[in-house]
Amino acid sequence: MQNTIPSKQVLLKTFLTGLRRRNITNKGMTLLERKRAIKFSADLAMASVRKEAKWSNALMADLSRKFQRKTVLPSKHRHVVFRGNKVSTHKRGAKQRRAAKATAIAKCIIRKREQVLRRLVPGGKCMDECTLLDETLDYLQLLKAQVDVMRLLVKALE
Amino acid sequence: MEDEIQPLLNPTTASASPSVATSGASFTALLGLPPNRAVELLHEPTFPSDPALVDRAARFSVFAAAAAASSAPSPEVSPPPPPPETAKKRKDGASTNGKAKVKKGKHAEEDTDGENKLPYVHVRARRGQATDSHSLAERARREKINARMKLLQELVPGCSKISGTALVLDEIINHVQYLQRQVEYLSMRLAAVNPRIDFSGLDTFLSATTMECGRLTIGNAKVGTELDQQQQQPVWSEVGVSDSDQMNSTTNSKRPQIQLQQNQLQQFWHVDFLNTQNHLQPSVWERDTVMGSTAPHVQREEQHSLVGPGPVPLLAFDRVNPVAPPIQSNQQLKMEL
Repeated sequence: MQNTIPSKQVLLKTFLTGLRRRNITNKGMTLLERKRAIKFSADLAMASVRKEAKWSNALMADLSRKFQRKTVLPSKHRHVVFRGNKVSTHKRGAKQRRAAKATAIAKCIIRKREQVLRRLVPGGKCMDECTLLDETLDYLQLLKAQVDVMRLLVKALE
Repeated sequence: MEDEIQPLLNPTTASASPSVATSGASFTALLGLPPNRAVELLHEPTFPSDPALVDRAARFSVFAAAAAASSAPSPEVSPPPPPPETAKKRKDGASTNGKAKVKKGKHAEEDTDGENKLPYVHVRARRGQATDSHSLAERARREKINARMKLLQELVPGCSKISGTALVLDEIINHVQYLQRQVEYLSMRLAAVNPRIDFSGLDTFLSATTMECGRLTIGNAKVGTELDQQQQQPVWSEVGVSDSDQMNSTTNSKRPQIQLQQNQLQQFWHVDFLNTQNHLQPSVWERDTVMGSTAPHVQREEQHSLVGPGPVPLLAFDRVNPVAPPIQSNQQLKMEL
């Protein structure tokens, strides 16, 4: 039927499978390397649970790039910012002009926030607003599940 | 005017009624799709996933007809399918113009029609609003975005009181950043904890449990606490046998009958630990290979093959410590999962 809330058991299993394959041992790895490997497996587990989402594919592409040890290129995308500020004409009264300015400012703020969100959600650069919100929804759910799983793991191992 | 309205109304009601009959006030009923297409969409894996969210999405979304939704808010609402929605962005300007002209000033509610082949969105204009195609398209888009913002508001804690898109977006961004930082921090903690525990050993036990859990019931947080005495007894008696082969065969046969009950599983694990401690490595790998062959092969990006008897199982690394802590940790994990 519809997508279930990501089963934590599935997440945990994938997570640990990935960890085991990466062969994390005490020797030969510093703390930072281990942490990086763990985070990598966590992201991979998260992305593989929800394969039909766009952010998931973007995340996998990003991870595969990291896996091949290439340096992360600074993304030179130029996201087109729609300024859309209308040239004001004296068609309306003072009150309406103030209201129009307020809404214009609000729109500016919203656009800025939206850009930040695009940077946060993997693959957000290439989505329109609607899809962006959809993907954020999905991404948030999985992130929550991932954090819960990792907390459980930490609690169990200590 | 009336003559134009009638023929337009009749096809909508005709197409809406069969799907309404099938699934209450479901989303596809509101879309007015025929039942087979609705079934297709039902099986389509889409998000949002939470049933409460889905319910709210159906209520708040653009396509919710006010009258229909309020009359029968059924709990089993089919998910609003986002991919067809995005496909529906292609709007037929001419058809909406025709509809808009007709509906202007008549209907206070919005209703949409999904056609079978071409998923267009037909939005009726509300009273006193502009009816050219551009503003209609904009309005539909805006309402889609508002619907999703409402869903996000409910997902992010503490956002329901905030009004205004900008602040809500602010909160959402903060929440996403917070969660990402949590993942980093927890992975650092796991890396710090790691020297004590060999992950390869821990993994086999946990993967075995999760494989079993996956086969029986997945994601059942509320596990019944009452033990099924009759089913428990055979497990105990058969697991008590020290021969690992016999244990394997009996567990294989018992597995479909055993319901996933929390205490039962914990005790199963308890005995399992004792057994494996007696037999150490061969029994662990034997059991795992038996389970691995019968478990449904989960297709993941990385195909996990069972590691050979190289890494030492979990218990071996700490012989001084009794078996109790690892069992307790696994029990804790199982309880919380």
